This record gives sequence, C-alpha cells and structure tokens, in this order.
Amino acid sequence: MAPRIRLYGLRHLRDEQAAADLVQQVLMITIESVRAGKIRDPGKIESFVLGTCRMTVLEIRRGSSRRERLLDQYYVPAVSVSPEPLPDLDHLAQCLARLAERERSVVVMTFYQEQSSEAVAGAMGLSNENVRVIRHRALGRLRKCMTGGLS
Amino acid sequence: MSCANPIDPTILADYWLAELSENQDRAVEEHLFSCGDCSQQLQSMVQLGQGIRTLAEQGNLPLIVTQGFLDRLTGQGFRTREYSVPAGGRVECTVTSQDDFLIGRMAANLRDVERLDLAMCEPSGEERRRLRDIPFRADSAEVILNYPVGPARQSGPDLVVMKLLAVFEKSERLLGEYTFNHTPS
Repeated sequence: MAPRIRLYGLRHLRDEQAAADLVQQVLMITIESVRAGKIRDPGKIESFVLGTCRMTVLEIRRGSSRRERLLDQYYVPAVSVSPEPLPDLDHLAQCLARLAERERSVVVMTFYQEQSSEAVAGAMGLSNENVRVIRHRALGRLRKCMTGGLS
Repeated sequence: MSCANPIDPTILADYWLAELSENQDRAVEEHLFSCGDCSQQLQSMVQLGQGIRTLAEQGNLPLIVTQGFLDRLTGQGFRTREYSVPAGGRVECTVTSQDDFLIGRMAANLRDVERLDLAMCEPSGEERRRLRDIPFRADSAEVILNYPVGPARQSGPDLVVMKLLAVFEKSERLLGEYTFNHTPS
C-alpha cells in the first residue's frame, strides 16, 4: 500500500517529502484503526486507506494534523518508500530525440512543470485538444521506445 | 497485465495532471488503490516524467521552449545564458562552465505563419539539421531555442546560421537568418 499512498501524495501535494509524510501518517492511522477493531473486513482495507489519504490531505491543506499525537502513540518509522529509480536517461534522451519537435516540446513543458494541457496550450500557441493529442501520442511513442528498444 | 479493466493511459495522464473532473478523479483513485497493475502503470508514467524533468534540467535537449519554462529555471537557481538576435543579425557568443542553459532568442514576425521550421546551417547555407514544424505563438514575435549546453561547452569555434522558415505546401519563405558565432570561453 505504501507506494500507492506515495503516488496519491505526489499527485495531490506535489512534493516528495510531503508524500513521504503522508505515507507515514496514513499507515499510522490504519494501524490505529486495525488495533481498535474499526476495520473488521480485510477486504475493505484499500478503501479505508484511500479514504484516509483523502482526509489526511484535506487536513494537511488545512494545516491541522493528527501526526504528532499518533507518533506518540504508535511508533511507525519513517516509511522508506524511496522514489523509484529514474529510467535509463541515455536511452530516454535518445527516445526524446526521436519525437517530433512539437511532441518533444509538449512533453517537456508538461512534465517539467507538471502543467495541464490548458497551461501548455496557452504558452505554446496550441489548442487544449491539440496539446492532449500530442501529449498522448508522445507518451505512447516514449513508452514504446523505452520498452521496445530503439530500433 | 492481469487487470480486466485497465485505465487508459490517456486517462492516467489526465489524472496525474489534474485534468479530470472530481468524480472521474475519485473513480480513478478507487481503481488505483485496488489494482496493482494500473498503479504500476501510473508509477511508470511518473518515473518517465521524472526522467524527462531530469534531462530537461541537464540542458542538453535541443528544444523550443517557452518564457514560462525559462522563468521556472531561473526561479530554481539555474543560470541561463541568453542571446537575442534580430532577423538578419549576428551575435558573438560563448558558454562557460557556470552556465546551465544556453538560450537563443530569434525575433521574427510570425503572424500568418501556419508551419514553422528552424534550420541550422553552415555559413555556406548547407543544412546541418532542421527542426520541423516547431511550436510557436504567432503573437510572441520570437522563437526561443534551448541549445544543448554540453556539446556547446566542448565545441571549438563554430559559426552557425539559424534560419526560420515559414513552410507552405509546396514552398517555404525565409523569415529571418540569425548568425551565432561561438567562441570557446
């Protein structure tokens, strides 16, 4: 579950450390709830964890947190959900070089700043829909190139 | 992949970039938390994005960029060396070990242009490379090129003539020539 919580944290908080804190906090709340008998059906643990992620992110945004109290009560070591290793950058650079100019610019502008299609479209003089199409095509080509080699 | 109903990669990208409605977001998250395969697909896309970001920060991608991209770089403490050249102009340029990015700004009237190519040429006019159908804003009056900084650092003296070309179905029109005379630092 920790990698999924981390991804949720990265998506909503856009910060590696905040995502790591979220993992720790959500796992602590989950342990607390399991010990208190609040989760009786093991099949519901995933939806409990997701609900806790949502609630915790809302709390983080409001600036309040149960983290300190929970840390006193249950020691959960900082969960080492280390960032996944980067892809082979030389290979990725070669795959990027094979994209059309628009595709390369759109994916770099998109992922460098994690910008929406609207923001990229405005900056590059393209329509939103055009950016989404270009992005989709470029990601597909990159995935294929990264998994299938360069030939 | 063993997921019976995998999330389309387009939807995963939309989810990651916060482009879905709240209801769609929730549906995707419910699926992701119960599906290792789709969660792994998202993880792969995120890693790809992190790889792209890392490469972009190394400054070695030949790339048409936006002013917002440059603002973000400088905001993060990267040092950009920029050269602005008017159409028909020439600039003496170099790059040092302290420079993280090498940027060329080429001024041009881009109104009424539908497709734009950037040709990198020898002084004789012979093309070394052409960036085809580059993105541009018709109202921006310039094209911003991120020139690969690593090769430029290692390069000896080099004279490059960049040409912006409006491309039509059966012809092309020169919008401007920009001469970059590179000298090692």
